[in-house]
Amino acid sequence: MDDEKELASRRADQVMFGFEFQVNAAIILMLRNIKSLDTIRIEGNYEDIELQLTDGEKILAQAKGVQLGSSDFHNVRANLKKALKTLSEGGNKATNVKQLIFITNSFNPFNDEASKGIFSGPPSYRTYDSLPDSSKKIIDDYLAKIEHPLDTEKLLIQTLPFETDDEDERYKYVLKAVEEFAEDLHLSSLSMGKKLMQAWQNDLQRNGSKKNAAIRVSKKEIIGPILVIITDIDQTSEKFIDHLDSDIYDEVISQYKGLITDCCEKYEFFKDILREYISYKNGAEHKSRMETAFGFVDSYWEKYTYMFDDTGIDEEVQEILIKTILYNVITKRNKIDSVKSGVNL
Amino acid sequence: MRFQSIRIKEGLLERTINFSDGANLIHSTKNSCGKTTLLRLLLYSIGYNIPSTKRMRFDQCEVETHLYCDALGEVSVIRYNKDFLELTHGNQKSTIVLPAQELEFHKLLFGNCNDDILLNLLGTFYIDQEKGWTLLNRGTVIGSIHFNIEELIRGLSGCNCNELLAEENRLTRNISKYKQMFSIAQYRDQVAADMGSLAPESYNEYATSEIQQILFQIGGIKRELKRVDRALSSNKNFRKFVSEMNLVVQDESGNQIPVTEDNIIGLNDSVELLVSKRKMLSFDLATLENQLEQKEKVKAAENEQMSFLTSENLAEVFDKRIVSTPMNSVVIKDELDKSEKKLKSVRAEIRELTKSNNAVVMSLYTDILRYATEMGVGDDDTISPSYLFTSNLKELSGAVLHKTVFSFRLAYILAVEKKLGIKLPIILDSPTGKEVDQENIKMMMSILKRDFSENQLIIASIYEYDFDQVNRIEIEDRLIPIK
Repeated sequence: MDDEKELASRRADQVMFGFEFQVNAAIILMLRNIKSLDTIRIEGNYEDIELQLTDGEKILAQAKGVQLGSSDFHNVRANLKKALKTLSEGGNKATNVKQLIFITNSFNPFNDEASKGIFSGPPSYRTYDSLPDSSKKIIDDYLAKIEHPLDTEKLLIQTLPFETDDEDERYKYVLKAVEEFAEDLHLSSLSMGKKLMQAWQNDLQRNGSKKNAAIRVSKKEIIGPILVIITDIDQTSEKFIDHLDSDIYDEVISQYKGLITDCCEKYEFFKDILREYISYKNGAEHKSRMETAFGFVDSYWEKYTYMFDDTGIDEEVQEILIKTILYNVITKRNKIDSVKSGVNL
Repeated sequence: MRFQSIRIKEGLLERTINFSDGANLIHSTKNSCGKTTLLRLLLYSIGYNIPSTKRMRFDQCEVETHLYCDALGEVSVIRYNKDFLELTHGNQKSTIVLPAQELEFHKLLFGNCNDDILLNLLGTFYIDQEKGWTLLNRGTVIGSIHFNIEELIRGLSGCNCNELLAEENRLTRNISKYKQMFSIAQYRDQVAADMGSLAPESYNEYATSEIQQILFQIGGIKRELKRVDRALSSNKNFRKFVSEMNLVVQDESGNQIPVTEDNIIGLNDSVELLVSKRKMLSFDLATLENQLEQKEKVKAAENEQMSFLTSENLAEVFDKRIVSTPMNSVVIKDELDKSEKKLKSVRAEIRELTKSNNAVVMSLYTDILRYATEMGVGDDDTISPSYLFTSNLKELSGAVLHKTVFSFRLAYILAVEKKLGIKLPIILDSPTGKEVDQENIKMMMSILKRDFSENQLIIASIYEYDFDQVNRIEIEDRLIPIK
């Protein structure tokens, strides 16, 4: 009885692990295709991971995570065989399929000496043509037994090292991909990569647990967490803080963070600032974006002191508060525009 | 200041009562008909926090008063409920939020900006039937409204003791804390001595602290979620508002563009941003709540196990906690003594500053002495200037106390009038006390007729008073009769 229980528990662990790998593999595929991505779905109608692109094409991926990816290869061929079968079926059923991907964390997905070296390092991507002959033969043999086999031109074998219970180790390549993506968008923040990775893991995990396959995560939703992180008041540019040149900046921000955030988030409030800034910007074309922002903040902050009439807030604090609000409202706009254009949204 | 009329609306019932500039007698043949209610409603209508009477809930009434103010001329005030009133002065209407703007409103009404005077003004011109006739120089006027002669004198003489008063307040609060701490520290010392060294609560304490930290984080996220929800709903409402406006704008080249939520810069972005933020916060909350559940389960299991080993009752748990709290009774006592000493000297300084304003003190003293002598309750041998500040009321009783209080109040009114240059109404609820005979009442009324003929007098009583001209306001069974 105890043995049965242990076996069931091991099976459950394997399923959980497999699903987690699927979610993280989806992040990797999503980032690789972010510019042309429209939506993504975990556990779709055709495959484990489905990416719908803006030009109407699709990328289907079969993900297979094994708990001992770097050392246990006894089942990898069976996994490959199964993956080629479902990818072939998916490729036939779905229309406009651009790519069919088998993504795994195995260091030796073919259990083949010739390709072992290719896949045992960091994440790798191999088209069918770029595989050693012995590995091609393994694929060919499996496909030969399938009634309507997939088109090997569209096949991509991809690996993502993903192992151990230590989260830093397990997610290190996912995190790296997220950080590289943020860097490409010129977003830099120490804690951003991890926060973003966690947000996407949560979103995709939730998506995968929804039965209705029509529920997909849109690019807009994927970009949401980035915008939340970069527009946080704590991310206010150091240059602006230097420009303010105030000894009490940190104290003011920690005390009034809620108020500042509120002003930057409520449209009814920030619309006036935005309108005034657009007019100001049009008359300051020769200046850099930063100079324009600082110029606007310095020239217009006094106009908004009325907000603090009768609040008893000290004048010096008022100045920092208003300037920080103005700066964040206008740079938030720039940041959102820049991220959106970086991902073609 | 004079009351001209009052309109009281209670549900469907309404009554308007007019007042004359001179003497007004609110009369009924029996008690509990509504005389006191009417007096209180007059004061309630001008913003004071006056308690309702048994028979009428003020916050359910609409009360409109027409007044003549020396500072503003004719004004009308409508108090709709306990939270705000509407002041009409000429063509200007303003809303006064209560109690936040009560003082500001009274500044307008009485034409003076001194807080010390305004906060003590009601105690000069209104004598409540319950506490009023025993209120000499300090105490409750009515409800939560107090009177303090020192404050009034400081206000009248323009003496600013705000810093000292703030210091007094701070010290009083600290002393109260130190007293509690000292008592706990003594208890702690005793427990420690009785029990020797107590075993720390180890795991249980640690688990509790972990749970508290998670709860703290949960609280922060919940607050942030609420804030995000408010911002989101504000932005969504704005979006709805814009789309329902059906606006069309024209660009420089003459193209007409319909304004929709999609072409307003930043509107949809701000909504989407908040939706994402909400999602992220909800996930953080769910993660923390999950952690909390796990921790509580472990702690409950641990407690269950512990209960086999020990049967701690609440008192024992308290003792363990208290012993582990670092408290030094000697240091606390030292701080307590220092604070008490400091408070004593601050109070002495305030008293000194108050009493050193001889002009105001002497003027008050002279008037009190004059009226007290006239009514036979004292003379310059028995009443000295320091008597103004007496705390000993025990020696006064019956008619003597009644007449002494009356003398003090009249002196206050005169002092305020000298300073503000206005005439205050004099509102007396049941001046004929149980132990005051008709002769004394006659004496009191003759003083009013002689020295306060320009003040509006409003008396509520079941007795008759001898005035040449009196506006009688008769109340039968109910202040607002049921038609």
